[in-house]
Amino acid sequence: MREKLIEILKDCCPDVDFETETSLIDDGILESLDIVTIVTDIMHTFGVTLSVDDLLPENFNSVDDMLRLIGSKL
Amino acid sequence: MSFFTLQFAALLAAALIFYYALPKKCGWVVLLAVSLAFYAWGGVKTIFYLLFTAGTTYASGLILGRFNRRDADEGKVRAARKKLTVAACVLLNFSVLFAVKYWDQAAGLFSLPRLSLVLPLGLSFYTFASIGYVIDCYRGKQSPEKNPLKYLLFVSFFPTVVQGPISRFGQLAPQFTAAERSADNVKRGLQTAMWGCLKKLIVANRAAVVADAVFANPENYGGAFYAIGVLFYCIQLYCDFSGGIDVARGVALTFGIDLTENFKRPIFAVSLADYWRRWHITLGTWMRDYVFYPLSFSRPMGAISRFARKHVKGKAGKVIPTAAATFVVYLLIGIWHGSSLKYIFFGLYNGAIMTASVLLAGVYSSTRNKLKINEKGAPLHFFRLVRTMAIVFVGRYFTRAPRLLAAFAMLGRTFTHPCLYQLTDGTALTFGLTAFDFAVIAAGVAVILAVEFFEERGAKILDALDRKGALVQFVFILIPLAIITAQAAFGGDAIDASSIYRQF
Amino acid sequence: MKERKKLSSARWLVIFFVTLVLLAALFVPVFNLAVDPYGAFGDRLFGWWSYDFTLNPRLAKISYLKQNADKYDSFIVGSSGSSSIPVADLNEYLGANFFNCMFYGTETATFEQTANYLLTTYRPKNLVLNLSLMTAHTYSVDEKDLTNSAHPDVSGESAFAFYLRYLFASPADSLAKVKYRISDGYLQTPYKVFNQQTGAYDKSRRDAEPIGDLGDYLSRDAYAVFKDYPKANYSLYHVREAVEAVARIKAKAEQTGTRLFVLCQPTYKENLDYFSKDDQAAFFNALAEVTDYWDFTLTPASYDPRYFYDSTHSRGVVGKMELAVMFGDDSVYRPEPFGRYVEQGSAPGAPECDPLPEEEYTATVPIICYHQIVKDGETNASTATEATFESHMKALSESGFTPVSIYDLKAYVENGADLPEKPVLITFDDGYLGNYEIAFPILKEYGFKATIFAIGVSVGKDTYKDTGKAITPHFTLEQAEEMKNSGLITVASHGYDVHEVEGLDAEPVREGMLARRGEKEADYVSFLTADAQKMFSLLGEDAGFVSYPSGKYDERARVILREAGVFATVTTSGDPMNKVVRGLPQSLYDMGRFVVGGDTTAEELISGIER
Repeated sequence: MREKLIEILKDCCPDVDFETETSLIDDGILESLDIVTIVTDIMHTFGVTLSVDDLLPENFNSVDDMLRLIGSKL
Repeated sequence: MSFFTLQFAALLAAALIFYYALPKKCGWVVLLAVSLAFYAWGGVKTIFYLLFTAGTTYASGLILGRFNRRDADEGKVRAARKKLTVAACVLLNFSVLFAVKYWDQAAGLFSLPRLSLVLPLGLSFYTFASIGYVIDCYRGKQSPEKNPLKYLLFVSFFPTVVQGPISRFGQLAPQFTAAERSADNVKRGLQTAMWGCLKKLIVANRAAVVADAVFANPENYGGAFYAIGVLFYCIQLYCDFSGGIDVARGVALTFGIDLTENFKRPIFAVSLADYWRRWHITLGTWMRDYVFYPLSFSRPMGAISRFARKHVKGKAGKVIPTAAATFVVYLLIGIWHGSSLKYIFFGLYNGAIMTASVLLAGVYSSTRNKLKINEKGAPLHFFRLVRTMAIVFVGRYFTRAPRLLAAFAMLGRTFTHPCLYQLTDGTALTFGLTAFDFAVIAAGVAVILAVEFFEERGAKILDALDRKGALVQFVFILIPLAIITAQAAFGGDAIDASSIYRQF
Repeated sequence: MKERKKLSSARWLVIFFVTLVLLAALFVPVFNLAVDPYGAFGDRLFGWWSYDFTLNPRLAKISYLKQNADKYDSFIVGSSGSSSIPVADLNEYLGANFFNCMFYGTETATFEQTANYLLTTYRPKNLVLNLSLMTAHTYSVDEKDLTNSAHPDVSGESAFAFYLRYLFASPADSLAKVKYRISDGYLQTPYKVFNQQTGAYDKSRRDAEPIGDLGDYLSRDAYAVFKDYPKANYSLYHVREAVEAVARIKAKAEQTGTRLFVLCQPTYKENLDYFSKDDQAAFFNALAEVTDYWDFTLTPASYDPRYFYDSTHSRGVVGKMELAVMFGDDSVYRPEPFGRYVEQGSAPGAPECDPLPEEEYTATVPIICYHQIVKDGETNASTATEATFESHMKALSESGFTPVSIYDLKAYVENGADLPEKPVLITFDDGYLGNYEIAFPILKEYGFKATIFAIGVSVGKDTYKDTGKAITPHFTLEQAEEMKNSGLITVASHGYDVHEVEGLDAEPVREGMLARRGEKEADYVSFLTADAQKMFSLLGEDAGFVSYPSGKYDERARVILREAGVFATVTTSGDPMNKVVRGLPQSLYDMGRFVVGGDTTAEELISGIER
C-alpha cells in the first residue's frame, strides 16, 4: 500500500521527497490543489471515502500520516 | 470611522486605558463597547445589519451544536436538519449581502426597481467571518459560543470589521479572554501600526492622486499614462490595503490579540497561485476551506471526476475536477469584490489563468526539462516574478477602470496609442503632485521594497531593531511619529492668503 | 541564549508616549507661535508684516504698531478705500508721520473700536476717518474667525481665548506662510498686498501699469466689470448708529487732543446708484449733524473708470486730489468741482455733480521716433538725411503741430497745465552725434522741442565700450549740456548699459532692460536700479524719462524703473496716438511711437500722426 501511495504522491508532485518530509502541510509544500488531487486519487485508488473534515494537517503532514488516515477509513 | 483620523486615535487611547486599568477578565467587555461605538460612529442605522448577521449566525451555531451533541448520542440522523440550518443561515445572510451590494446592478440589467441601500461598514468581511463560524459548527470543528456578547465581539471586533483580516472564530475568540498582555506586545503593536500609517498616509494617498486623475479623465491621457495610472494604482492599493491591515493587526496586538496575516510580500510571488497565497490571504483561505474543498469533494464533482478519468487520458483527466473547482473559486473572488461586470471578468480572468496553469503544469515541467532550465535557478525565478507581476498588472486594469469596456479600451490603448511624449512634456506635474511628492513616493516604495526584500529572505527587521540602543530606538520612534503628526497637522486646507484680498 | 535587549519594552513605551505627547501637543502651538501668519504674537521671527497684514489687517496692524509706535504720530482709520489716501502727501501737508490703519470691511463699529484704541493708547496728533455710504449699510459684523479677529486690547476679548485660538489654529496656515516666504520674489503678489511702512496697499505694480485710451482700458480683464457694471440696491439701515459712532470718535479725539479729519471717499457713479437719493441725503445730513467733513463721494472723477483700481476702489491719484483740495494745494490737478466741504449743522443733501467732457481732461499726443540723422547718403528705416528731416519739420510746422517736451506733458497730467492744440513729441533714440550736429540746428531754427535718449556707456564714444569695435559716434556730455541749455532739448535715458550686443558682450546677452537668462532676481533688481541711478547722476532729472532699449520691457522692469524714479517711458511699438489723461501720471507710461526714418515722406509722417 505504501508504494501505491508514494506513486500517487510522486505523480502529483514529482519534485518532493515524500520519504523524508514530515511537514508537508505545515511547511506549505503541498498546496490545496495538490491536496485535492491527491485525495481524489486516494479515494479512487483505495476505494475509501474521504471528506472535507479529514483535511487536517495531522492527516497529511507525512506519508505515515496519510497511511494512518487511509487505514482508518478501510 | 477611518483608522487614520484623530477620532480613532482618541478612541484607541481611551480603549487602551480602560482595557489595562480593568482586570483581565473584563478586557473583552471593553473591546465590545469600543467595537460597537466604533461601528455606530459610521451611522447608527447600519449597525442593525451587523446585529442581524451576528444574531442569525449565533443562533445557527447553537442549533448546530445541539444537533451535533445529539448525533453523538443518537447517531447520524440529523444530517438533513443540520444542512437545512446551515442553508437557511447562509441564505439569509447572503441575501442581505446580495440585496445591499448586488441588487442594484442586477436590477439595472433586468429593468427592476432599485433598492439603493447604504452599504454597511465591512459587510462582506464580517458576513464571511460569521458564515465561516457557522460552517465550522456544522462540521463539528467548532463548539458554539454560548455567550451572545462574546460572539458579537467576534463579529464586530473593531480592528477587523472594516477590511479584515477575515478571522476564524477558533483562532480569534479564545484570545478575547486569554490575551497575552505584555509591554512587548504593546510595543510591537504600535510599531506595526505606525508602519501601516506611513504606508497609507505617505505613499498610498499620494499615489492615489495619479491613479484617480488618469481614470477620471482617460481622454486626456495616452496609453503610457494608462500604464502609469495602473502602476500607481497598484502602489496605492497595496500600501492602502496592507497599511490598513498593519494598523488593524498592530492595534489588536496592543490588546495582546494576534490576528492572522493578510499579506505576505505579494511582490515576490512566482505564480498567480503563489500571488493569491500572499495577497488577501484570509479571503483565499476562506474560499479554500468553505468553497474549494467542499466543492471538490461534493457528489457532483465526484461524478465529473470519474467521468474525466474515464474519458480524458493522462494527468489532465485527474486534474479536471480541481481545475473546475478553481475556476469557480476565482469567479466568486471576482464577484466578492463588487457587482459590476468588470469584477466578474476579473474573476474569470484569474480563474482562466489559474485553471490553465493547473492543466498545463505537466507541459511546463516537460518544457523546462527539454530546455534544460534549472528549476531552482535565478533566471527562471526572475522570469516567474516578472510574469506574475505582468499578469497581476493587467488584471488591475479591470478592477480600477470604471467599467468593463473602459478597461478593455484602456488596455488596448496602452499598446496602440502610448503617446510617449506625455512622459516628458510635463503632464506628470498636472495631477496635483509636485516633484517632491513623486520623490516621496519613490523613496517610500524603495524603503518598503527593501524591508520586504530582507523579510522575504527570513530577516526579522523589528527583532533586529530591538537589539539596538536607546538612541536608535528613539530615532525610529521620532521619525514615524513626526511624519504622521506632520501629515495630520498639514493635511487640512490652509487659509490661502492670496484669496483673502480678492474679496475686497 | 537570547541576547538581552538594550532597551526594555516598557522603557520603549515610555519614550513613545513622551514623544507623541510632545509632538502632538507642542508641535502645533510652537510652530504657529514661531511662524505667526496672522501677526497675533508679534511676528518676532519672520517680521513679514506685509503677509500678516494681508491675512488679518485688523489684528496684524495693531501688533505691528505695538512694536513701532515711535515711528508714527498720526493714523488713518477706515475701510479699504482708505488706502488711496497717499500717506506721503499727508505727511508733507501736516508735518506728521501717518500710519494707515485701514482694514477690510466697512463696519463703523469696528472703525470706532480701532479709533478708540488708537486715540487712547497713542494720543496721536491727527486722525483721518475715512467713511463711505457703505459704512451705514452694515453696522457691525460679529465674527471671531482667524482672519477677522481684532487684537484683545482692541476688542476686549479675553486674551486667553484669543491666544488659544491662534496657538491651535491649523498649522497649514503657518506652513503656507513658510512656503510663500521661500518662493517669494520682488513683485507684489496677492499674498502680500500691503506696504509695511505705510500700512496702505502696495500698489507698486498697479501704479506702474500704463493707462491710455478708455476703450483699450476696458478691454483688459481687470476692468471688464466697468463695461457691464453689476446692479444692486442697498438700503442704509444703520445711518443713526454709524453717525453716533462718528460723534463718539469726535468726542474722544477732542479729549486726547487729536486733530480729526472726516472724509467720505470717492465712489464710482454706478456704485453710488446702489443707494437711493433719499438714503444718500439722509446719510449726509445725519453726518452733518455731528461733524464737519469733506465729501468726495461724487466728483467728475467718479465717472471715469480710469480713476479706479477696480469697481469699488479709487486710485491713489484721486486720493492725492482729495488732499490737495483739503489743504489748498493748487499745484495738483483735480477736475472741478472736486468734492465739497460740509459744515456741521448744514443740510448738504445728496451730492450732485456732472461729468467732464473727455476732451477737457484728455489730450492725444503723437510721438515720433528718429534714430540717426546724416548729411546725406545711405538711408533706411532708422537713418534719415538732413534734407528729409528738414522736410519733416517743415511739414509739422505747416500742419500746425507744436512739439512739446515731456515736462509739458507732466505739467498737463500733474498740475493741470494746458497743452497746445496739436501737440507732438519728437524723440531720437541712442544719442548719435548726428542728432547734435544736424538735427539740433534745424530744431533750433524752428524753435521745436525734442527729446534725445542717450545711452549711458556710449555718451561721447565712437567705439563699443572697451572692445575697440567702431560704432556710430555719439555726442558728448558737453554737447548734451549745450542742447539742454537751449531750453529745447531734453536729454533723457536709453539705459546706462543695457544695449548689449551678441558677439561683443558676454553670454548670455542681456536683451534690453530684461533679466538675463538664468539671472537671479535679486541681482537683476539691483542691476537695473543701479543702471537707472547712474543715468540720474549723468543726466539729472531728465533721466526720469526712459526709452526702453530695443523696445523690450516687462512688468518687473516697469516696477523697478518706477521705484527708481522714472515717471515716463516710451516703446517702439504700440499706437503712437497716445491718450494722456489729466490726473493720471500712469498715462505717461509705455507710450507708443511712430518710428520714422529716411524712407518716410513728409506726407506719410503727417498722415501717420493726424487722426
